[in-house]
Order: sequence, then structure tokens, then C-alpha cells
Amino acid sequence: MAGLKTLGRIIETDVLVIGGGVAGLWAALRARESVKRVLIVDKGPRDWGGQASRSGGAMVAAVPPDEPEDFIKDLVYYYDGLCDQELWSEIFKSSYGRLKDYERLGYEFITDTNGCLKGIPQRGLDHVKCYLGKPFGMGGKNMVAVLVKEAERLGVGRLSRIVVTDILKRDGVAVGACGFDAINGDFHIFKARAVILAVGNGGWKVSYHHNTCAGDTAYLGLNAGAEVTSCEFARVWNVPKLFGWEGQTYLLPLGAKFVNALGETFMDRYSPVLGANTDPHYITRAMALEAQQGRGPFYLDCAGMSPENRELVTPKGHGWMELNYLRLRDMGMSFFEDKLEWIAQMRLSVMGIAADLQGRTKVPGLFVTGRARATDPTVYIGGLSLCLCAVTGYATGEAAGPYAASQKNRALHEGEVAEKKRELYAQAGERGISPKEVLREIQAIVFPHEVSILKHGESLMRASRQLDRLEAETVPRMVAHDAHYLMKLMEVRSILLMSQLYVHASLERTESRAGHFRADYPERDDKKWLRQIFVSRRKDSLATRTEPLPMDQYPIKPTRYYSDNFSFPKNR
Amino acid sequence: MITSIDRGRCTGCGRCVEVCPLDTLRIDVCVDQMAPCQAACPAGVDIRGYLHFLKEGKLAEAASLVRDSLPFPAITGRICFHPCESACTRKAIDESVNINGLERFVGDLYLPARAVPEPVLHAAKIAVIGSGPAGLSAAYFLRKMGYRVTVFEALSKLGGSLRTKVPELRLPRSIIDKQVKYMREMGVEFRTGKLLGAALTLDRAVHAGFKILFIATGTLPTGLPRGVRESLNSVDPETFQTRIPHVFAGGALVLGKVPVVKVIAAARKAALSIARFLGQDEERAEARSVVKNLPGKGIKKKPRQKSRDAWSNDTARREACRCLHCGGRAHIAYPDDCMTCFECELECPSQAITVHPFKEEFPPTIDYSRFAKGS
Repeated sequence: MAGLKTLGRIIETDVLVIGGGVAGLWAALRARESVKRVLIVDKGPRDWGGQASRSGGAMVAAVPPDEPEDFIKDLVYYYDGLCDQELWSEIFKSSYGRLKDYERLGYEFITDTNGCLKGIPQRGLDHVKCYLGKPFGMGGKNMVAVLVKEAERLGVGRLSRIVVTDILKRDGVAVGACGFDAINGDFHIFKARAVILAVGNGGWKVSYHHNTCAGDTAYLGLNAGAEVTSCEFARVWNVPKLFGWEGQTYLLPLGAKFVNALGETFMDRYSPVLGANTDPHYITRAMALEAQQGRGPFYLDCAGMSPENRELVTPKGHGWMELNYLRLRDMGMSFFEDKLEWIAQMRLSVMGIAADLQGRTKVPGLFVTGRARATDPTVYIGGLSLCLCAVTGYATGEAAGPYAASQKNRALHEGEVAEKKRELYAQAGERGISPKEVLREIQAIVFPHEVSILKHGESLMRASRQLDRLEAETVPRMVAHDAHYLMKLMEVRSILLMSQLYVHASLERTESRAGHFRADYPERDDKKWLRQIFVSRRKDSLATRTEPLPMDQYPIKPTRYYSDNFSFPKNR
Repeated sequence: MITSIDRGRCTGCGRCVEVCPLDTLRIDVCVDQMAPCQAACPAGVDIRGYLHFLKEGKLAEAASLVRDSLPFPAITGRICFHPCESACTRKAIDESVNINGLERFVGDLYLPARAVPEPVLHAAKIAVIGSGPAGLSAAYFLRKMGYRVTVFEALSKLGGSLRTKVPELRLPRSIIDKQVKYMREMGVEFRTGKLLGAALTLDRAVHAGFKILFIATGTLPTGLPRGVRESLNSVDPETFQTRIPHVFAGGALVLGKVPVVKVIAAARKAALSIARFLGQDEERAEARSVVKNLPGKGIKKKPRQKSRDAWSNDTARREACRCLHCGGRAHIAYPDDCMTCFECELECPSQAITVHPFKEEFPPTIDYSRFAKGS
């Protein structure tokens, strides 16, 4: 340890939680019951709570008399069969408990006139219900606040603006992490008996909320020796072209319509049953097909909304949404009167680290929780993430705490830490390519619709080559001027890795299912592809394997498929 | 994207820096107007500046800024009556920032540190008589300016009134020893058991090559020639020069019984005066105005860290984060990292920030220009 001290600041803890969102907070709180020292590190502001802080604070839960099994039925249908029924069954079984925990901690859910919790059905599904938090549409901050308050009460340590760059191992076991302070650049070494990754999903850093997610999950997990999965699933969303807007989920059922350049409600062409009131992945798929026929761009037409409904969805007291709305109005834009252009936007990756129910990864001592796990084929259900984060956070903390308590103190490998530090700071410099420019290059490779929406083998192969070339020729010339840019640089490195994983896995899955659509394989292939793709790192290359879902052990056999509601042209 | 920060409205409270998830903002604390704490500090310590360094975790920079005005922060961090805290803007919100605690933290942190020897820049040698707060301070500032300084102390141990009058409980003697050691490493020489007038006379001092004598013996030394004694009775309050041109005096001898921080401030002034007397064009302190547009409205409460225990780096950083850097100015340090989340504008208590609702433009996911217009 003597030499280690000269490398940077050493912080010892029993459980180290990387990422201070709701999953990380839940894991920390639960782990604290078994060990004295729990520390959360986050690259963002102190106690900000990650992406949840911008959410509406709505949470899916199986509140009695609702049955968890019924919820699974919905997921199996919505996810086109690609559903980890064992995991989701556990999540839904525990969901009501966590909802009660939130209430106990002081978070309020909206109730009906009888004081009963008010469940909102989701996406036209039969059973899954979501419970809205207070205040309406802005509960996320309160949700975070009650968890932070509890963390403070229990003496859970929190460090902000710390970028973790590597998980440290000894004898194959995770024993800590290292990284740096994004404000002053100081090197930090964390020594722990268990490490929990709670860094959220992956993302390409497009403007939307607190969009801090990069490829940290894939980068930290893969480099530590864990497997990542669901890499082929990315979230492509409908967004206004120029500004941000939250709540299209509410707009569409209330009379707003997506129309193409000809004014046609084009979704009718692809899904006479559901129209535009569907998951955005299917809308963006239709947008790409329409555009190919020269019928883009696209608009959200609110002409059909009644004045009452417009009033209902006009942001009032909604924090940033109200500010956004008023400012647009001041600029002469009317959200409801004008036909404003909406676009398809590649946003984030739902890839995650493979783990068992309690979040144990392939690497002993390394746990994963929340959206850093892979749980869905990217089609979206409001409030499901907050359910996932609370339940898996709790379960992971429950496993990681006692594990940490049972572990002996393992010394860190000084030479390894020194090497990691050297590599990290070697990227500092004055003259070179800025991380932002490299990010632009990555986005330009991955975003085009033939890579993101109507994926095609040839386009994916081309993207793969382009990414590899970028990695070989451009990434080594990237430099960071200061600690802030070192954070950005590390994010770009991780986004590059995540993009490569996305392209490779997309090539591998030669079928179309849920959020993944291959123009050259437009059919669902249940025989071959009710399976998951796992990627791991082998020295300098990535290794892929697939594993079928244990359908024979699952209670629900898929009979209905959400994608059957749509008919997309099948010309290969 | 965040577009502007109204400099007239921004009070520098730092809320935006604190909440930005993308870390795009910074506070500029190098501004002309003084914060109320600095104005209240007799030694004029740039408290806003060094607390900001502490907030950013830049400990060495913080210590260096403190040492510009304070020779021994580990001592003053224990015994100063901290008028800065009475002037702290935070007081009106919850409690003043624990500036004294932070000063002690910085002082203690660098207590074991070895000083870098200061380079000798001038020919003149200076004798300082007395090793109390005034003598030590004058020696410190003169040595920093590049003069060779020797401190003469009548007693066998250094520290003067710090050692003889301050209770050990408030100021452990080991701390005095360590701060003296630091000055020794800077290049200050010390001679103990040298009583002025007996072993050391003015003439002998001059013979020994000292161009200037700075007398800081606390009380009037006995055994001085009458002329010298009389000259000490009328010391110029601005220049600290006695009627004998190369003899200066400071400390309680001149100021009477005043708090240590005032002794330090006067010793610094005397050091500058000595430098000017020796022909160096040391800059004079300019009169600076105090910030008027103070933070206050809408600032969230944060509990003050108590001084009782030794502070960890994180405790100190958290306490420093309570500072509102009055008069500082937020600026957009990394504009291209903004993701239009409006958080800074929503959280700014002074309505100084404007976020334009239009977001950044990205490479298109569907590029219409690639397709022929159809029907």
C-alpha cells in the first residue's frame, strides 16, 4: 500500500457502488444493512440521482390483486417472446414491496378519491400498470430525494464528479476501482470487498434530459471480464426536430397524429389496428420506410386535439417543460397550432451486463444492477425502468452486502494500478482531436437509418469497418485539455466500444424482433432466435456466443407477438 | 443550449455549477470586487478564492493562496477571532461558512510538508528581533520577497507570545514548532537566546551586515541606548519606521494588545514598507470596493460542519461547497457539452441564466436528402 499511496488518493470501503441513480441508491441502502462502509461514486453532481431525477417518478408495480404472472404475459407478448421470465417474475413479485418502501420513506403516489393507488394501464397492454408519483409528471426528483435522505441517515458515503475508468481485480476477483476527479483531475483508487455497477444504460449523448449516459456499462463491464448482452437493441425515438418534449405517450391517445409530408396518417398503412398509438420503434420504422418512398419529413399534427385535451397536456408547473413551452411560444412557435417537424432519433443502447437475479456477474465480487443490466429488447413501457431499478437495486444490495462482509481484505496490484493511471493520463494534451469531433464521427456512422432502424447486413458491415478505422486511426489522436475533457474523452472511448458491440450484435441477429429490425431478415425466427447474444472480451478482440432462452422452464409460452400488429414490406 | 448568463444578475452563488449534470459551468472568482469576508479580514485573505480551490479539490492551490496573506494558517486557524465569519453572506441563510475550520484544515494539511527554499533576490540582510507573531510574520513576508532574514529570540524557544500566552489547549506547541520548521526550510534563519541590547546591540547588528532591524519584542526591551528607546516611542503607523531610519518596529510594541490577525496584517505592511525603503517598488494595496449584489434569495440550506473533529478532505470540500463566492461570476466553460436540460436555469436563484430551447443538431437518423421525392 505504501507505493499505492503515491499514485493517488486511496479510499477504502466495504461496498463500492458506481453510479448514484436510483438503482445504485437502492443497492447502497440495502447493502448498508450488512456492512458498515458503503460508498457511492458518480460522475455527475452530488446526490442528483441519475436519469430518474428527470423522470416523472411513475413506477410499474404488481399491486394486489394484480398478479405478477399476468404482467409476465404482457411482457412476453410485448417483447415478442424475448423475455427473461425468471428475472421479470422476481421483479414483479417484489415490485409492490418496493412501492411500499417508497411510501414508507415518504414518497407519495397519486391515489384515487378512495385513497387507493391509481394504476394506469400501459401501451394498450392488458395487465401492466404504472403508478404515478407526486407531483404529476415531476415525481422523479422526490423519488431521488427520499432515497438520498435515507442514505444520509444510514451514513452511506457519496462522492460526486468522479469518473471510474477501470474495475480493479486481484486473483480474478473484483477488489476495487480506479478513476479520476472530473474537476481537478486527481487520481482515485477505491479499495472494496464488493463492487456494484449501477451506471445505467448506454447512450450516444443526444440532447434529451440529463443525458449523461455513455458506454460506461459496456466499457467497465467488458474490461473487467463480465459479459454484455442485448447489444443489438437500441432505442430509436420520435422527438421534435428542434427542441425537447416529454409525453408523446399522452399526446397520441388524445388526438395528436403523426403525418407524413403528404399529410397522411402513415401509421395506418403499417398498423391498421394500432395506428400511431404504439411503441416509437415501430413509428420510426414506418418513418424510415415512408422516407424511402420520398414521403418525409414528418410532423405531429395536433389539429385533431380538442381544446380541453390541449389544455390537459399543456405543461404547467412542469419545471423544464413549462419553461421550454413558454420560451417556444415567445419565439412565435405554437406547439399545438403549428405543424412542427418530428424526427426519428437514435438515442440510447439498452445493452447491459449479464447477471443472475441478484446481479452477480461472471466476475466474483462484481455485481450489476438497474439499467446496467440487460432486461428488454428496447420496446418501451413507462415506469418499468423505475420498477426495475428499485427491485434489482434492492436485490443486488441484499446479495453484495453479505458477500462483502464475508470477504477478506485483498491488496491491490500496485503495478496494475500504476499502468492504468499512466494510460489514463497519457491522453492529456494540448494539441490533438477533441473528443466531441470523434463523437460526431461515431454518430455519423451509427445513426443512419440503415444501421439504426432498417438495419441491413451490408450497411452494418460498412459501419463496422468505419468504426474499426476510427478506432485505429483517429481515437489514438484524441486528447483532453483538462479533467473535464478527460471525462468526455473516456466517454467517447466507451461509446465507440458500445457502437462496435451494437453493430456486431445487430449483424449476428439475422431476424427481426421487437426493437430490432433487419431489412434483409424482416421475419421473426423463433426457431433460431429465441436466444440472447453474449459478448465478452478476449485480449484485444471480442468474442460472441449465443444462448437460447430456457423456454421449457418458462411458464408462459409465446403465442401472441406485438410485432404481429404491424406489416412492414418484406422485400429483401 | 445554454446561451447566456446575465452578469448583472449573477451573484456567483454557484448553484448552476452544482446542478449541471454535464459539468458545463464554472465560477470565476478572480474578480475585482472583494467579498464581504475578505473585506472583514484584517489580513485581507482572499477567502473566496481559496475556498473555491478547496471546493474544486485543488488543495495545493488553496494552500498557496492562503499563504500569500497568512504565514502560519495552522496557528491562525486555531486562534483567530475570524471576523470573516461574522461578515459571511451565508449567515443570513443558515450559518456562516466555517472559514476558521477550513483555514485550520489547510494549515494542518500542509503542516508536515517541506517548504521549498525561497530564492534570494536581494543583497540586503534583515534582522528581526523577537519571534512572536509579528516577528515571524515579518520574517515570513520578507523572506518571500527574496530578502535574507535572521530572527533573534531572547528565549530558548521560538514563538514569543504564541508560546508564552496562548493556552496549550488552544494551540498545541508542536504546531508552533512545525510552522517554525517550515519557515526555516523557506530559508529564514533563527538565533535563540539572543537578547537585544546585551548580546546584540544595534551597532553590532549593523557590523554583522544587517541593513534593517525590525523590532517586534512585544514589550519595550531593556538595556537599549536611550536614543533607540525613544525612537521606539514614535513609530510611524503607516510605514512602521522608527526615528532611526533603518530601524522598523511592529507587533504589540507598536499596536498594543490586538488580535493576532491584525499583528500579521501590520507585519505584512511593515515588510512592504521595508522593501520600499530598500528601493524595491513593491506594489501598494489598492482600495477595492466590496460586492453589493450578494447572493441570498433562494439559496438552499446546508448544515455547517463543526470544528470539533479533524476534517477529512471530503468534509472540508463539503464545507467549502457552502461558500457562495459572493461577487464571483458563473461562466459557460464547456458550452458544447450542454444538453438543453434547463436544470441550471430552473435552479438559478437570480434568474440570470437563459437556456435556448433548441437543442444541438446531430447527424441525421433519417436523411431525407438521400431519397427522391415521391408521392
